[in-house]
Amino acid sequence: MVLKYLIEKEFKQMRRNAIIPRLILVFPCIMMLLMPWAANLEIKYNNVCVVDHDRSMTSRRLIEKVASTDYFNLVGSVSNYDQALEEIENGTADVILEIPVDLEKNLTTGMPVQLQVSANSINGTKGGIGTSYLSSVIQSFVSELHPVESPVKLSSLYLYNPHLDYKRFMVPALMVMLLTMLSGFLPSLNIVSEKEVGTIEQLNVTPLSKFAFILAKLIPYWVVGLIVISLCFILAVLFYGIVPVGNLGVIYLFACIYVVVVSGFGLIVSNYSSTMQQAMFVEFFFIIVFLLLSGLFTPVRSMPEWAQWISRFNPLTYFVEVMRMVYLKGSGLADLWQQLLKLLGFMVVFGALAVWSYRKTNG
Amino acid sequence: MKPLVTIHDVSKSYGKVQALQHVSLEVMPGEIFGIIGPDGSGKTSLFRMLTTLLYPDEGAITVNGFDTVKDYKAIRRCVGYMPGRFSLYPDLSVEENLEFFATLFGTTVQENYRLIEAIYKQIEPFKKRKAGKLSGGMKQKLALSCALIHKPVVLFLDEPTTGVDPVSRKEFWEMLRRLKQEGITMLVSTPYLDEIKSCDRMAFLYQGELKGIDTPAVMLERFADILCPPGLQREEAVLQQEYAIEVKDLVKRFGDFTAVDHISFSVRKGEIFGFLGANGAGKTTAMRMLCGLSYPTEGTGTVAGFDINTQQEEIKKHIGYMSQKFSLYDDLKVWENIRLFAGIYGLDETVIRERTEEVLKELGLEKERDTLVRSLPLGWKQRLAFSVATFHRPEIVFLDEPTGGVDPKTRRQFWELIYRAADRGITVFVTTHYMDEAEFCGRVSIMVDGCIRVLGTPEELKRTFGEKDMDGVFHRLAREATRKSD
Amino acid sequence: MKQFWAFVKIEFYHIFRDKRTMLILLGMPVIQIVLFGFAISTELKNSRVGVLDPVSDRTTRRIVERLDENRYFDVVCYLHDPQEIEDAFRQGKVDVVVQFSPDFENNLYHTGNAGLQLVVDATDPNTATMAANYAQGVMATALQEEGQAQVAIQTHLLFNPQMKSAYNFVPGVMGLILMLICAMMTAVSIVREKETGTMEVLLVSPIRSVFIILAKAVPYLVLSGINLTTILLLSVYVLHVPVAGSLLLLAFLSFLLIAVALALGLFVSCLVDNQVAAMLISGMVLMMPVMLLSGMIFPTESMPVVLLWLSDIIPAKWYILAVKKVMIEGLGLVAVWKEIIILSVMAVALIVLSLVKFKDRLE
Repeated sequence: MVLKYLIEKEFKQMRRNAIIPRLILVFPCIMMLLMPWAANLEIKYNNVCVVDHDRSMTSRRLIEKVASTDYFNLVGSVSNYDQALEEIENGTADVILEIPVDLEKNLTTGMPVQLQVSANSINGTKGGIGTSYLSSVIQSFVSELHPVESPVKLSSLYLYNPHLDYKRFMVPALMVMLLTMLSGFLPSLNIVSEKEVGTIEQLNVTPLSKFAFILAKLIPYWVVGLIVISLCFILAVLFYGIVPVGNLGVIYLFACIYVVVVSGFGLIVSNYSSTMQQAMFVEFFFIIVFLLLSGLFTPVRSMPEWAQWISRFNPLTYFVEVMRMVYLKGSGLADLWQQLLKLLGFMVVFGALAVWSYRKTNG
Repeated sequence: MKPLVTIHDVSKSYGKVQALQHVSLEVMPGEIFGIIGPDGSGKTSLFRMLTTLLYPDEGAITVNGFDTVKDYKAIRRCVGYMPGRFSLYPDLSVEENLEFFATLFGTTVQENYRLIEAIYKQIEPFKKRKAGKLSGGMKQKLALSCALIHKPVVLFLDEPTTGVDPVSRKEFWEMLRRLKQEGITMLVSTPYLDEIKSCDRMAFLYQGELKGIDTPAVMLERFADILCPPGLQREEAVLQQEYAIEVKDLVKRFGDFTAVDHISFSVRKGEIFGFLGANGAGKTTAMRMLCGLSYPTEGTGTVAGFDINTQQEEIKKHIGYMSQKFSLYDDLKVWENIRLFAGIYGLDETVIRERTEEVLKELGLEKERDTLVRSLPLGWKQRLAFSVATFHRPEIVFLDEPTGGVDPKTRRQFWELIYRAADRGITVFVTTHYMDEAEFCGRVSIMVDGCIRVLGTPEELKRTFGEKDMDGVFHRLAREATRKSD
Repeated sequence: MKQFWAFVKIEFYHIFRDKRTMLILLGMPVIQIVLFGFAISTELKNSRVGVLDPVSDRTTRRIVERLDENRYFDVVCYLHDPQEIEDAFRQGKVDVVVQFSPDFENNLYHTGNAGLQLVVDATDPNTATMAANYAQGVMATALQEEGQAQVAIQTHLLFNPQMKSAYNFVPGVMGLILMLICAMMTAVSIVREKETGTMEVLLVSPIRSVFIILAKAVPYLVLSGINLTTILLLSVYVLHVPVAGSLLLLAFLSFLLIAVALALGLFVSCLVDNQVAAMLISGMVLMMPVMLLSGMIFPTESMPVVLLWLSDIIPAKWYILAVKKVMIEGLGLVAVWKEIIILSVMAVALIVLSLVKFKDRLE
């Protein structure tokens, strides 16, 4: 029953704070509006520069084929590789396609042919996707030349995101990010600010139990988290027309658990810090590491072994997985029981640590 | 002689709140001028305008011949200022703070050391300690040293001795008088009667209005009801035989420093027990152990029948506590603070509602129930904090310097509350730096260097030492101290 | 001048005494470089393949074998029914499913009607595109192994032969760290003085407010210098990213960004009066746009025009652009004059604005 009074107090303080209520409402809106457009690893165009040593019918047809894709944009045709390299250095071209002499002759006579694709890969993803896509365009061009030789119909089917829309991929992850930042940072500043003001002393001298204290600190952020995530749902539909394929209830269930995990972590940081500045930086540090190693921006499976190992101890990894699976693939509880158990584990551990690390009586 | 500070018809308001109305006064060079008034009378606003931190809404102020609005840079070169709250860097050591402020004002510690010697030598043994780790009184002494170090033409001191023990206050005022001989003009606000008497002239502010300017003797008579209220009378309470607090050989060490050194005493139920001592004598440390906020290093004791070593959480159920910081939530309303703490102690919703009305009526705060605690005057906050601490009818209430920084009339009102609580059977354990308050206690103990030096009723102590008041007793004992800090 | 140095000294004490914050300030760049350099990668790796092969025969087995041998793919399970495909994806067990038409070999050699479909989980569009392209390449090669001569495509990844993303992120990390330390720390350290009340005394002292501000800047300038050195040393000796251009020019650019960041921090400190607000504003409202819009993680070119305009007002974007030119491409002053002018204008404008806003009174 004590909880009721404490929670009332937390809410009143939060409401009277000049910045927190605004942050809770405005920050998700701005982020949902900007971030999916900005956080876009989708590569639109690759500007191709061609060095055609063959100048035959076939080579021209190949160039036409490349230029006709949505993906490539022909910016020029130069006579040698060095000139093409210059185009890349100037930033006008991204990829060079070098066609050897005798392309046509060798292709018709069945001699080996070697084409060269060079890409500016300062941006690794862009370079990688550009070369792989250009290669596949060339492959399909060659097989069109010899339709009899390749009796196999090779097709690709893109599931869940047929238009390869990067925003669909980012929006669920963005929700995780917002939830992590808001329900992670705010509690990390909470207890330590009571320490700085001195009100914590007055609470420490009451019979208030540690468990009730931590719970009363958690529940408001839990509510904040639910407000934030609900706001995100609405914004996702309004701005991007993205509706979860799976069950909304499943997402809420996981969000409820996850918010306790991050807020619990924030409270632990707060308990161990002596100034707000310290709490902020420590929390900042962990959130950056958590975010980068969660698979939110780049796939966990692309990471080296050690990093994958760390990401296994990162609650964000599981929640990002869950959000994407439910939102885009429509996975249900039956598919997600492993993640559920792991997040529950995190919840218990972080919750217990938050209670344990709060000290009512000092040395 | 031309006045050094002139305030001409100055008004100041914050939104709807009128802080000062048409105040005019002049301060002559070399004067110690008291700005006296209860909390919320506009003293701090006046100080801030004098130090060029605020613009007056109306009227004009000159300091040392410069206008505070136009020539504020010139003024900042020649004044010293000690604001009402601590203005030290908590993560710098004592020595570093002092050096910084000396350099800031273009001087060195060595140059003006003699000005601050009397006060600073008390904290000097601890010059390596961080300012944030000092006790309240120690911080005050350091802040004073910092404000004085550059020997300004005019010195503005906004309640410089709040939370400072009587001996150090006396030394501080001796220092001010020396500064006066050096030709420094001072404007001081203070809630202490003996300090008011030490001023050459004083202005009395009340609710933003200037009520008069004259010598303290004249003024104290004119505003006797506020400045020197009659003493409190209380019939000898019938004490119960049981003990509320019993402590034996209590020790607290921090590293190799013994803050509390084998203290033993007992307090009977229903008693008002005064726990006196100079800054750093170990009072707060001892009290924190009794409240279950820290573990004793050695020794045994019970509070409300529970062991202080093992049953801290049980103790907390049966006590109330009010610290120097008046730890109410600033951003909660009056009734919300009451409700919160009552709720934490597990009181019933209906009981809370009934008693809240009672308490508000008793405090005369009915109209302020929806006011944020932040905007209450200090004296009201203190009384509210006390009522919150006793709301759940604890067996014992611990009060750590509950009346710092308020005028005599407000303090008297506070003590009426204490008496009422004691009449209801609550044991009161109180620390204070006001020796007139010591006389209000049933028994007092005086701590010197971590040990309890004497213990008895005020009458007994005065008789033993042959002094006419507790002030005298305290000075006799505190001068014995070898350790000058916590 | 003595006052000024005394001020600088206490500001240094302040940083050095808060061990935890200092550890994080100095450790943050190291961790970021390590994470970005070794953990974060968009390269396709260990893509999990499911195989649906109704009639297993020599050809299909060979194709699957080739796929499994490839370093990008791991065959993890065999499915038996088209219905299982959906489940496998929903449970997150596979990334790609290779589906052979029934009686593949027979059709391949006799009817010429063999079907081979790649089903890809496209929740992450980039990974999906890469996986599909690579898989197609592998399978096409496998099919043609015994056939006639084929087209070889040689790919070159220019400037960044190992596809290291370091070239992309090192300048980004530099920008982020400078912004973080200078803007956030300045804002917080000024606001803290307001909160603790020391500002009142400082204002009444004869020190000029310009000196107060400058003194706050010096320690963070030094700290940024240390961080820049760490980043450069790490990138040269650990990531093997050479500094191609002039170090002096790099230092000058960094100095410009520091000036802008300090002015921003100062500006924030003028707007708010408590540490929590200062931290939340500089942490969330300043940091997020820097991370998102500056081109540090996400390329600016795929952003919509509106965001591009928006990203133009972010100082870190210009800094990162210039650093890329100087550090990676080894270009000189001539190439970055535009960035230098923009940064200088921003610095001057912000400094003037915040000096005007900086109140030397309490009102």
